Amino acid sequence: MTDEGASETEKFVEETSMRYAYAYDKGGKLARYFGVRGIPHSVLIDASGTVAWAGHPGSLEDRHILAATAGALPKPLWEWNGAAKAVKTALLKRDFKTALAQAEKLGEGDNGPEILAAVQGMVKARVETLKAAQAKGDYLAAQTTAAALVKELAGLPEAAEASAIAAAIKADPKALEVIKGQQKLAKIRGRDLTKRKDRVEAIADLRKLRGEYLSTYVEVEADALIAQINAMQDDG
Amino acid sequence: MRAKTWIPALVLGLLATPALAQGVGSKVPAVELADFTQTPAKSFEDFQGRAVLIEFFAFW
Repeated sequence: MTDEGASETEKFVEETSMRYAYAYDKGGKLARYFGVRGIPHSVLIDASGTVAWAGHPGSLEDRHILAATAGALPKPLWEWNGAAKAVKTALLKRDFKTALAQAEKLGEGDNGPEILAAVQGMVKARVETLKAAQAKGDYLAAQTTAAALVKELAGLPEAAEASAIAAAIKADPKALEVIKGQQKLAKIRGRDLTKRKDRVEAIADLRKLRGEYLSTYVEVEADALIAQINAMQDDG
Repeated sequence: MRAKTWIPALVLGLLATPALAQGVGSKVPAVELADFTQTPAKSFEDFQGRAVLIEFFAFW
């Protein structure tokens, strides 16, 4: 259990010759988000900011890493200086139109073609993530992602795709009903499940919700969450 | 030489209160991590566009 301060941590880092970047998840918010219940536990996030894999670090395979690094920027943003700095500034503002325009201005010496391809890949990956969410009936994710992309991709043709998906969801009563179910499910997901009675109650609520939304993505999510809670119970 | 395209990042923190996890395929929320060390990154946003491996760990 880690609630030691920086001095103890730095000592540990020095003793173990750990060379990786590290930071503090104060209050355990991120660990809670990922449902970390034991350590070590790893989460692999791909270049589009999507969770690509999670589990014990010993079970991480090369194929997971290869898939997650597809379309990744050739170097981290903090190394983007000189001519590439304008691309970096635009990316940090999530202004992809400006980022692409600035990347197009870069020459070979500034890794221009590589950076341009990477930014194009980021745009493509975001749109594909949105389409995938819509295709599997995850309308809540699709609605949220579409709203973000309409802003982030403003001025690019892909913004129209995001806008069209947002409009299609808004005009679809069934999709809107599924979103209501997903919002109810999100509230259950956020509960504190330390006590057994809370877990039993959560499962009952999920089963009820599942029954109301059969053959929708709510059913899929409810099943996954019930399985997670049952695993908690197995742990005692 | 091409730089590595993924960055292992270790995150220290208290083990979370039992809760339901966000799974594979979910978007990572705005991440608030403090005191980045052994990296020029100042925030998680600086890793945007890169693949990141986060390892939760504690020591005792």
